Amino acid sequence: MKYTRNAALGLATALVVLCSLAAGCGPRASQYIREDVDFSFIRRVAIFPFYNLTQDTFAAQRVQSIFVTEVLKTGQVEVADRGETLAIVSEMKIAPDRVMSPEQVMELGKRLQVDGVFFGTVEEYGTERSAHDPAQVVTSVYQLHETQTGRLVWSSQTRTDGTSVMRKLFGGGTAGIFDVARANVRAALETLF
Amino acid sequence: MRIVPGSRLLCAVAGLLLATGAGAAGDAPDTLVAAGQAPRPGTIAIMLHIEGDPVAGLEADVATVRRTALDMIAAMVGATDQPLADRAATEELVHRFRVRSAASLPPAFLSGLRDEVGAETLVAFTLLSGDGRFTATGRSVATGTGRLADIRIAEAPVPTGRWQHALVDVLRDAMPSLRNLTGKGAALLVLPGTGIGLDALAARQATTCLLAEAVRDTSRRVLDPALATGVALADGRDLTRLDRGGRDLLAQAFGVALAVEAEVVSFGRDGSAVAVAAPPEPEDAAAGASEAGDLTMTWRVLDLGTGRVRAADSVLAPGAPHTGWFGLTHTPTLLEQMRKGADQLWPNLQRLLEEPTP
Repeated sequence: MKYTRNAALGLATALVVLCSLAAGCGPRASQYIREDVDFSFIRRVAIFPFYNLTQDTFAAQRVQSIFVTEVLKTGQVEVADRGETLAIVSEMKIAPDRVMSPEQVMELGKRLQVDGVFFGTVEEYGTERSAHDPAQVVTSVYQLHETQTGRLVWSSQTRTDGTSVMRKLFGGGTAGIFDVARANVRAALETLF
Repeated sequence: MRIVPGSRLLCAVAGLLLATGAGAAGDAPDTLVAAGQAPRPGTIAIMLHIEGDPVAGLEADVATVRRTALDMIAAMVGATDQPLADRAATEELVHRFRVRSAASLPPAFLSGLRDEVGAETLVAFTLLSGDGRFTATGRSVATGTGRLADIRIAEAPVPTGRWQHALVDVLRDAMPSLRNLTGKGAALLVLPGTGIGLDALAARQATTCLLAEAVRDTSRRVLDPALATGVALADGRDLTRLDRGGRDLLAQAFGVALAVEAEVVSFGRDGSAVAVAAPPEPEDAAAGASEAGDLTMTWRVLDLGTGRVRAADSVLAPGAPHTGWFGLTHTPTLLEQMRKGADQLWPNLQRLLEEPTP
């Protein structure tokens, strides 16, 4: 009887340790949500072209493509078409790599008839070689500005890598860059929706 | 040594290889409709554009490849017992309307084919050469309605010194069906796809793969994206920046409320754009993975009235080598990845389009 109890205790401890280790290697996000904003009023959004701070020419566009699909999958908001967003941005003569002022966000919202505008910055994208095993890494900052005042109402900085304890234990190497980027986007959006 | 052009001989070879009985080039003059004459039902005009690097690895120049391919297409059309429109008159229209690619067809060009050449159907081929293979896209378009009856894409390796055989193979496999030209189903407008991390030709191939799935659903009247491009260009608009005016233009021109946007994203190993017509880097070939790496194919349904994206879906087409029976390893080509992605995407899109409009 005592033997059985000890075995169960040992198993439970092992599970807790394993789960802790696994959780420690998941996406790491820090976020800010403005408390005095009723997000239910944000029903229609636009997604501004993401900023790219990486060496990979297409990193921002790749992550943005995933972001658009994941936002739509939440079913919480309507998304303005990218083509229309680009057309209006072009008309307003806003350079894609410039940070917008609150007034410009308000103007963009008015012309696109949206309640909020998502911004994104891809800070890291690709293979991290500093560790023993190379791993795919994506670090991004996602922000939502409401267009009534142009102020920031949500921000999330998320870092995701393709390694995990489970992968190290059972093999398989690092996850692919697509899986890592999608996990990054999902981890961020979970803090909003 | 360059191959001496021998179009008649090659047509005969094509006819024999096709094994269609009446496919020899000699049949063509009997069924040819001269320009300015009253059109005969079922008359077909043919058009060919060559893209990529057509002389890479070939023993023939561009003009020879083009002439040979056109003769082969004419032979295939002849095999269907349908009359062929005057080729010279068709070429004249192509030049007059500056149709430099099958990806953009001005409405006036289609009208000209119908009214001046007497063609009811346009069979347009795009031949891409590069990376040691031919890739051909063939589409049949009703000149009266712009309906895309069929679209096919095929690729074939080009063995040294046997480019004619590869050409026959790829054109035969890409020859579109000439049926389904008069259906009355709901119109479906597919806009030209965009590629991220891929060149423009790859994005066009992705659109073709999606269209190939769409035209199998004969209850729908699929409109050729080349027409949307033609209409937009004629109005001085860019389809990648579709504002309210552009959406209204498409809605009125085609009588549709929705449009489907396709997007293909390469998650390759580096940041350089993958070109379908470029030979792979040696280190890539050694690594064994697909040149483009993993691909995602995405479609978005755009409401032309409101400008919002009504729905979207995305699938991953892995580029990793696949080990099959007896340990044989196969690395998917870019086209195979796109086909797989389109095959998985279409059922979901079809389901959504059948749902009532909210």
